[in-house]
Amino acid sequence: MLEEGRIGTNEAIAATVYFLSSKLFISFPQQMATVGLTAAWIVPIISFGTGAIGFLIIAALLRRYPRMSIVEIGEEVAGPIFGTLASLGYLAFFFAATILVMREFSETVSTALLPRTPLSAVMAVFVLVTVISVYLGSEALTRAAFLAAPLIVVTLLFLNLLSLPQANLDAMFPLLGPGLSKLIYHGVLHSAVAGEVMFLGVIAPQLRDADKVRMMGLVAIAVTAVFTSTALLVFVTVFPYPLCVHIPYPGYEVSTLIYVGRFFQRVDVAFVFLWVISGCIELGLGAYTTTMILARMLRLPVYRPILPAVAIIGYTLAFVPPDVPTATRLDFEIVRTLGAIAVFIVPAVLLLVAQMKEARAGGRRRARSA
Amino acid sequence: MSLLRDVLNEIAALLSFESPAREEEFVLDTQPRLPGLTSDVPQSEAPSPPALEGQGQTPGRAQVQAPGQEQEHRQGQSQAQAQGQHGRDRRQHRGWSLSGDQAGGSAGEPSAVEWLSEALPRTPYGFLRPRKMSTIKIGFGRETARPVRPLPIAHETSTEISPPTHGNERRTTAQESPPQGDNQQQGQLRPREPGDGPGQGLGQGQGQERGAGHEAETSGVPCGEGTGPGAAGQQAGPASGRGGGSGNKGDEVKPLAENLQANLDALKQVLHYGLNSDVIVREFDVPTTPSTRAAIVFMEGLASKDLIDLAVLQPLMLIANLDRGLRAADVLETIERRLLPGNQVTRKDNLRGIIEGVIAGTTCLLVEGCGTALEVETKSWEHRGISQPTAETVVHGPQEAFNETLKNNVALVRRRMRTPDLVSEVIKVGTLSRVDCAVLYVEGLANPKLVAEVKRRINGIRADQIQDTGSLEQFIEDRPFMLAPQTLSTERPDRMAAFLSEGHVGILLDGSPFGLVAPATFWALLQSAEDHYLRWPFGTFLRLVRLAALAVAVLLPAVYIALTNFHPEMLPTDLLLAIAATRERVPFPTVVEVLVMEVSFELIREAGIRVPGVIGPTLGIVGALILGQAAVAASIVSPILVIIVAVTALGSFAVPNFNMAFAARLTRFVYIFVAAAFGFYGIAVGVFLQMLLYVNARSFGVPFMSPVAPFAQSSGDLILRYPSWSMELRPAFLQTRRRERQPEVARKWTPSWTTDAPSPDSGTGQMAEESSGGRPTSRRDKGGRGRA
Repeated sequence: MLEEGRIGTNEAIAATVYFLSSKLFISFPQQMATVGLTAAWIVPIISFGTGAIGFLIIAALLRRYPRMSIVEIGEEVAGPIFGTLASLGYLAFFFAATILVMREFSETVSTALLPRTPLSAVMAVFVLVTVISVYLGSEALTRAAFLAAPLIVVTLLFLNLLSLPQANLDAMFPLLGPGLSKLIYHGVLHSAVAGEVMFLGVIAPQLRDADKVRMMGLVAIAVTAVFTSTALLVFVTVFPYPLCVHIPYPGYEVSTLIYVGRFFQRVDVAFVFLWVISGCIELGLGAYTTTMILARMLRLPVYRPILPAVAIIGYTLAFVPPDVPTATRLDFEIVRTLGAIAVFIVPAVLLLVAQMKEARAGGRRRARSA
Repeated sequence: MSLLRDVLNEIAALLSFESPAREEEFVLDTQPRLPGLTSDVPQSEAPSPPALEGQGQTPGRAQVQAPGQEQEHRQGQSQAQAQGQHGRDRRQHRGWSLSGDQAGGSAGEPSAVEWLSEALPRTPYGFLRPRKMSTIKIGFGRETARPVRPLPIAHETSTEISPPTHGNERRTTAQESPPQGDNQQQGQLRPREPGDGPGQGLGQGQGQERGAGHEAETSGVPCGEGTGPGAAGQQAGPASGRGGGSGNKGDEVKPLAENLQANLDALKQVLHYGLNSDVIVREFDVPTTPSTRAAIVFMEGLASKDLIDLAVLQPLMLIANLDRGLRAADVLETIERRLLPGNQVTRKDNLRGIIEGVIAGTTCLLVEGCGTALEVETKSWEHRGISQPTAETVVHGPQEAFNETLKNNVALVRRRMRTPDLVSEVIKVGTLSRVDCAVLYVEGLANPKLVAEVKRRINGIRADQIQDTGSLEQFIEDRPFMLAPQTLSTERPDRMAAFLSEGHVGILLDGSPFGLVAPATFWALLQSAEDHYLRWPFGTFLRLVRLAALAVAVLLPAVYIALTNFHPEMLPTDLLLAIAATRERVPFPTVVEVLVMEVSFELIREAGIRVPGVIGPTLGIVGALILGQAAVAASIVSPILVIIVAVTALGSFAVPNFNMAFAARLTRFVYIFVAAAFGFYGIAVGVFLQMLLYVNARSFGVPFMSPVAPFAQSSGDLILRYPSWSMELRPAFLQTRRRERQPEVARKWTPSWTTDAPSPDSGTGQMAEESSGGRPTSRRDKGGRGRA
């Protein structure tokens, strides 16, 4: 059975929040600072706002076709060929995003925690955990995310609060950074930072309260926007603009600066739990979504047989970028820009087609009845 | 694309990665959809287990078939055919091709290969394991029924239809028993006998076992429930289902003859009279005219000799003065009604019932000319008295614990729950041991599906002997390879009663001083009875301490290794220098040092349990010397590590559940290794994996981490212990039939809530007002319903 288990509203929201916000702990803040300068914290608000609009389209599709996932909806609306092409778009987005995030998380761990451990070993552990978590299924993953929800809230709260002594509020100005138009442009262009919200469209048949999917997505996006924006605000005030674009892992760097008395310092390692666990959840959800899209595309009754193949291909492709900056650029400049076409524009087209078909069918009915 | 799709479909079908364990397991839907629950009583929903012989038998096996049996037989056949269809579907799904005769469950015997393929599914653990439980359709879930195929039997056995037996040998309530007339109408069909479960032993049991037993399991209804005469019918059924063991002779439901000597001979043969020195047969004459021969049979040591002398032999031999010309049946009637002062006298009309009673300690009275025996309750044996709890001690609270006698234990619970709804159903467990296992629940409160599932699992045990609930839980738990326990073991009757009142199901086993509570959640395993006996701030504090203790017990040595090996920058400089100085003379790496100490500690702990009491103090001295002074002086370990190991041990001792503490001890070693390999990264990954495994686990269909993940409303009785008056609801994950535990206003005495409150002028009223003093008496006082 492809859909195993049932997912509650709280679990779905927690998982989506982790899925969306885990990129905060890798080089995402640096990229935001590169395009938003001193107003880096505004860019995610615009991006997630755009993503919320995109998700409303997905939610409309899901409501029109209840108990169907976004993959089946595509095939239902656009036929098997165009539907498969649409699903390939989702697949490409999630697979690429997951691979690049895995590479970046592995590099973060390797740099910050285990500098003498080979990257391949660190990544292998991530792959192993991802395989286990995907094998156990979405029910376990989302429940684990909900169980770990206090971790992300409390740790981010502590991180932001304890970093405040190092912050310089003057670094926020000019408040709009490169200007409002540029902020909006970059925000909209990178709206695929919220693309993972389509996860809800993939697990829609498993949701206990499928009619609340719109609320789930919007709440998750809102919470993530608050998390991300706050963290970026702290980041750009702790590391003023010219400096912050050169720091690859701002979350880690900020935590190293925490100094609360002589005893409570260098507590960056304490935040490792958040980074690693959120990374594991993100990778698990990414790999699960990828595998499920593939399984649904191929109409497989189960998804587990293709899991080893997906894991090995993902592990191999993660080494393709020669270095971290390349992986980061690929992620931010390609996946997070072109990805919007796959995760937001394609569903919009599908919704349009669905409405047209419905209108045509309604016209035929009226003609017949007349 | 289509080719690729087909290939992958084939691979998927062949490998069948569809998590059979998950499909097979019982799932109690945790979402509180109570409105439908009250009508979900299994008796009305689930198919009734076949209680009649012949049902579910493979065609051709029943040599005698009663007219009334035909309909039943057809039902059994159609059910078997339905299962066969399901089986065919599955085989086709797996790419097998079988002819209809081969595939149909009722059409012919499956081949050994087929049976093996069915019986040994691939598990999510990646290897094959015999199927132990079948799926039942429970709740609103996603489970699908999976047929349990009958076992192939190498030889034909005769299926003899036993004559009907009387219903008067069962002490069952009216609602448990179907109308006798139903069974009588079935002509030659035989109702269930006590101890006559799915199988009848070797004599006639095979066919029935394969039919009724498996049908009952598949349908998820415990054997005997709703069809047979209730509890008595369930008792020994499963235990005897597979035949085997010493009870085989007793499994024969052979009716008693009217000839006393013939009956005695049969009994002596089965009980190995002469070889068995504790089997006592006492023959005597009842003073009638002419005198009537009689005999009693009992087991020495299990029955009270005084009771037998005074309440059986004396009245019969000395006081009896029966009327002349009484028929044999009337003699028995007179003895039963006038001469036996015992408070429990039961009629038995077959050999098996008599033997079971005698083995259990009752005294059997046989009278010449009667085809019925009387069983007098004379059980009495040496047993330990009620003593204090040893594993769950509390400072504040009851100080009595279960002992090894089942009846005492049930009484201890019943004393605390004086409601007629507290039900204690007894099931025999073990083909050799045939120990009584009591399933306790509150009728009308506990989820009937949960009760049925517990009984189904116990009924499904096929073991020769089970002596303790520690063994029993291994036969009924959901995930045998999970370290954490999935049932809660307790020796405290008060705790058992508290769980029962929440809607849990209790399990007591004769001979075991520990009871089991099912289902168990992670949070319950960290709770102690004392939490509720102390005021809520103290209870909450203790729970937080225990949670921290668990974290320390599992993670502290690993964190030490990670800190010293991978992340020394996290330590303040002074502390780092201190650690470095103490480790300067130690020749081992940290991980070896930790392992040496941990293994030494485990040795001392194990030796401390096994060592005879008189040399116990010596062990303490040796342990203290090894782990403390000497090891440090010899530069084998650093002093700080002694502190680490000691604190870790304290942490594991603070975990209230012994099995959970054991799980923590073992998990600790895993964390030590991952920390040695990957530092904090490894620990974090390990914590995540453990979280995943825990949220994926279930205990009797209830998610192990309920009610947190998945989230469900609860009464604030998890990590924090809310005030007792605010705990208004029972746990949602149990889906009890009555959700409310107490009214919203539990402190009804406060003036603001009582209509007949004393006037403010009276002293009582003042006292009440002062004592309430504007403080909340319920959630409503706090301005809302809160987290109910």
